[in-house]
Amino acid sequence: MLAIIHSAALDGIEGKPIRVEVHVSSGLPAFNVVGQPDAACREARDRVRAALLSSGFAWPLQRITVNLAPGSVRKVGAGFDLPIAIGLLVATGVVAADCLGDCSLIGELGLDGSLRGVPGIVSMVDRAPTRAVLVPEAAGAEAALAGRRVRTASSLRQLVAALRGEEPWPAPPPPLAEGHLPAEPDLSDVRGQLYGRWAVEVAAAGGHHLLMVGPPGAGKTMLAERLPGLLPDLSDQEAMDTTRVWSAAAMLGEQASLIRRPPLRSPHHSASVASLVGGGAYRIRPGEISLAHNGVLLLDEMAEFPRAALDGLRQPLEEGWVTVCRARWVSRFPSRFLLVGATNPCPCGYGLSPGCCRCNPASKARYAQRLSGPLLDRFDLRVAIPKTDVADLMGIGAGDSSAVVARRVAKARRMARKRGVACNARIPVGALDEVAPLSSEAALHLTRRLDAGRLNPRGLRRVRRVARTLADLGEHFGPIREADVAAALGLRPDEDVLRGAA
Amino acid sequence: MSVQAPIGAPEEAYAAGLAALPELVPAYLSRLLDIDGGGVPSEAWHRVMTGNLEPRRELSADRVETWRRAVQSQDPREHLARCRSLGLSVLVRGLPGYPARLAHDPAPPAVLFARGDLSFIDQSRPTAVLVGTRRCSGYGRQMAQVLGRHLSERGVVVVSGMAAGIDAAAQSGALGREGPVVGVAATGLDVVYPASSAKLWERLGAEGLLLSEKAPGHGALPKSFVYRNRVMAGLADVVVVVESHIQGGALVTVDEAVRRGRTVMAVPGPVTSAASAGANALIADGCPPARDALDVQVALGLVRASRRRAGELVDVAPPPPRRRQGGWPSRSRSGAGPGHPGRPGQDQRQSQGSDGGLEPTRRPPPAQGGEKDLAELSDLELALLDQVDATPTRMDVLMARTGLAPGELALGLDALDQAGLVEAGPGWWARIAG
Repeated sequence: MLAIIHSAALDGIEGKPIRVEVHVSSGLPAFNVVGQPDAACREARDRVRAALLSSGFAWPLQRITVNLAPGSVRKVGAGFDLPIAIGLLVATGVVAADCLGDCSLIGELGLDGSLRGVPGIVSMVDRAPTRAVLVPEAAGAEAALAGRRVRTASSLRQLVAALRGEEPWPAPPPPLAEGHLPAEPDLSDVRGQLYGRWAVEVAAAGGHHLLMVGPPGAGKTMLAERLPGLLPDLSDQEAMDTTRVWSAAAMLGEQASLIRRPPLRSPHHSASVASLVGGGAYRIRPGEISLAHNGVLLLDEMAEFPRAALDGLRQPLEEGWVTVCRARWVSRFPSRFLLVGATNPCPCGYGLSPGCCRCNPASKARYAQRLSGPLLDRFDLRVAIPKTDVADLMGIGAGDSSAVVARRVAKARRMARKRGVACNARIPVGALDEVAPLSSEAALHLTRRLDAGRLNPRGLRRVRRVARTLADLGEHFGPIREADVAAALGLRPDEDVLRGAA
Repeated sequence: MSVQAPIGAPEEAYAAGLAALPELVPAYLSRLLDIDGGGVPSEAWHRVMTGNLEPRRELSADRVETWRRAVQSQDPREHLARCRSLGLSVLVRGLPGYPARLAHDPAPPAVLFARGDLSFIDQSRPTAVLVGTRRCSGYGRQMAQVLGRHLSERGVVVVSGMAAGIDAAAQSGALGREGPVVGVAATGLDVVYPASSAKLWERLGAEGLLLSEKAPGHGALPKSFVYRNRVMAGLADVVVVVESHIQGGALVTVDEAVRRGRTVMAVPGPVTSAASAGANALIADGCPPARDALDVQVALGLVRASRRRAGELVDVAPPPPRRRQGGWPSRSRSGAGPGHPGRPGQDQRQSQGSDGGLEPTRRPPPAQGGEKDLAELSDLELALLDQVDATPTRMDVLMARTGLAPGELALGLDALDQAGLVEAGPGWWARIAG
C-alpha cells in the first residue's frame, strides 16, 4: 500500500514543499528512509516506531520504505516524523486516505506520541502545498503567522481520533494577538551627549551606519541601544521577512507573534564568522546579521571582533543579502540592517582627550588596523563620543524622549519613501543629483574639501546622502543648503582626526 | 699578537670610530678615553685593538672580543670620512672645538657629533632648554610653540630634544626667528626619529644646530633618551618643563639640571590635565612657574622682574574679537539645556533676536593660506569663537553653549577652521593661540 502525505522542509530560511511517500509491502521487515535525509531525519525511524507503539497502534512487520521527494532538496531535522507516522497509518489502513483532505503535516514526535514544534515553522507553513496545515499545538501561534488555515494537535492519538472523526478537532490557535512588546529604553535616559544623541537621530532617520568612537563609560552602548526605539514599525512585508528569519533560527518561542519592532542584535565580540553571517554544521542557521534584518546590529567593542568576522560584513552591508556557501548547499539570507559600531579609540581607551592616552604609538597603530579601511568606509556617520563631565550632567535637563524623536524620524523616512527608497542611505548614486541637488554654496563647500584631499568620491556620495537626511530632518526643501553639507562633513571626520592625536 | 694602529689618522677619527662601537654606553666611552687622565683617542683605540681593557664587571669577555674584531677590521679614517660626508663635525672632549658649556660637566659626553653652527652653544648666549612629553595636549603644544617663538624672538637660544610633541612644537615655534635653535637627538644624526619630524631635522641642520652623542647609523635604545637628557641639562642655563606626566621622561632632565645647579621652571597647566601633572607637581615643590617668555627671561637675568604688570595675562590667546555684537550670554548659563539638538537654535534666536547679531552674515571667501583676519568673520562666527576654549571643547558643550543647530555650528566652525583660528580633534574643537 502506498500513502502520500504533504509536508514542507526548511532550506536556509525558505520553505520547500515536500511529498512524503510511505510504501508498505510484504517482505522481510525493514524500515528505510530515502531522499537525502540528514541524521535527525533518519532517526525518525526510531521515534516513529516508539510513538506509534506507545499511542496504541500496531507496528507493521513488513517492508517499509519512506521517500522524501523531491530528492534534490536536503531534508534537515525532525519535522517529517509526523507525516511519516500518519503515512504509515494510512498505508496500513488505520486511517482512511481521504480524511486528511487538503492538509499538510509538519511536526516532530516524542517517544510517547506527543507532538513537538520544529524550527522554521513560519516559512514551511508558508510554502506548504496545501490549503490547510496541521502543526503541533506548541507551534500553532507561529504557524498562524503565515496566514494559512492551521489545525493543531498535541499528540498522535488525539490527531488520529480527530482524523477518524471519533473526536472533534482541537480548537484552532486563537487569532493572532498583537504581540506584547517589551519596553524599549528611552533616549531621554541619556543625559548630556547632545552631539551623540543627534547622531543617533540622524542614523535612525536616514538608515545611516553609525560608528561611535569614545572612551569607556562615555555612553556609546547606551546611545546605541536606544536606536531601535527611534525606528518606525516594520511594514507587513518587513515584519514577515524578519519573522521568518527568527522562526528559522528557532528563536520565536511559544508565544510567537509577528516581529513588528526593528530587532536589536548585539553579539559578543567573541563571535565567529559563521555565527555572524550564518552557517553551521548540521542545520544551516541564519547568523546575527540576518536576525538583525530590518533592525539594528550593534557591534560593541568592535575592534575586539575577529578581523575575519568584521570583513565578512562587507558584502552583506552592500547587498542586503548574504549568500552562505558550503560544499553541499548554498543558502541566501536577507541581511539588511543598520550597523552601529562602538569602539575605543585606542587600547587604553582615552585617546580622544589630549594628553590622557597611555598607549605607545605602535600598539595604537596595531589597534587602528583592526578595523579595515573598507569597513570604516561603509560608515556614513563616524562620531567621536568623548566622556561627559559630571558637572555638565548636573545642569542639563532630559532631552527629547524617544517618542518625540521617533516622530521626526518617521517623518524623514516618509520623505525618503516618496523618493522611492526605504531610507536615504539607500539612494542610488545615479539618483543623487535628482533627489539631493546641491545649492551652489554647498557645492563650493564640497569642492573645497575635495580639493584639499580630505574627501574621496565615495565619501562624497555618503556625505550627500547624509546631507539629504539632515535637510529632511530640518524640513528644508529645495537644494541642499551649505549648513547641511557642513554638518554632514562634521559627522564623517577624517580617519586620523577620529583616531585622536596624542 | 702584533697589530699596528694605523698611523696618521687625526684623533677625531679614532674618537668617531670608538663612538661607533656597538653596545658602548657614554659612561664607558668616557672611561675608555680617560681624557681627565691625559688619555687620547688613538691610545684608547690601541687598547681596544689589543683587548687590553681594564676588567670590569659589566664588561664581558664577549664584548671585549666583539670590539677588538670591530676595531681590527676598521680604519678610523673611514669613520671620519663618513661623518664628513654626512656634514657632521666630530667634537672630542679635550680637543679644541669642544663646547665650553660641557667642558666642566659632571658627566660630559666624550664625543659629540654636530651639524650646523657651533657658535649657537657659546657660553655667552642665554640658553633655555624646553622639555616635555611626547603625548602632549593642545594646550602644551600651544605653550611650547609660543614660548619657543617668544624666547627666540628675544635672542634666547632654544634647545630641545628632537622628540615628537612638546620638543617638536618648541622647535618649530622657535625656528625662523631671531634666536638660534638647537636640537639634541637621541639617535645618530642620520637616523631621523620619529620619522614624522624629518622636515624639522632638515631645517635644524640647515638653520640651527643638531647635536648627538650617537655615531651615525645608530638608532635609539630605551636608555638613549636618558643619556640625551643629561646633555640637554648640561647645555642649559634654564630648563623649562612645558608639559609632563607625573613620571615623564622630562623629569629626568629636571633631575640632571638640579644636579648641575641649573634653574628649573615649569609651565603651570590645568590641574585636571594628566599631561600637566608633572609640571604642576614641580611648581608645588617650589619650582618657579614659567607663565610666558618674560618669566624665563627674568630667570635668565635678561630683564628685571619688575617689568611684569600686575594681573597681566599670558599673551598666547588670539586678540579678542573687536566687532562683537550680540552673541551668547556668559557660559555660566546652566539648566536650560536645549530640548532638541536639531532645533534649539530657533528659540535661542528668538530670545536674542533683537541684537541682530546672530543671523549668519555672508563672509567673503576665506583667505587662502590660513591667515586669520578677524575682520572677515561674521558676527556669528566671532561670537562662536568666543565659546571655543583653548583647551578641547566638546561638540556637545558647544551645542549647549551656543544653542545653535548642528548645521550652523558646523558651518561656523568650518569658517573658523579655514581662518586658522581653531583646530579640530575627535569630538572637540580648540582655539589655536595667535
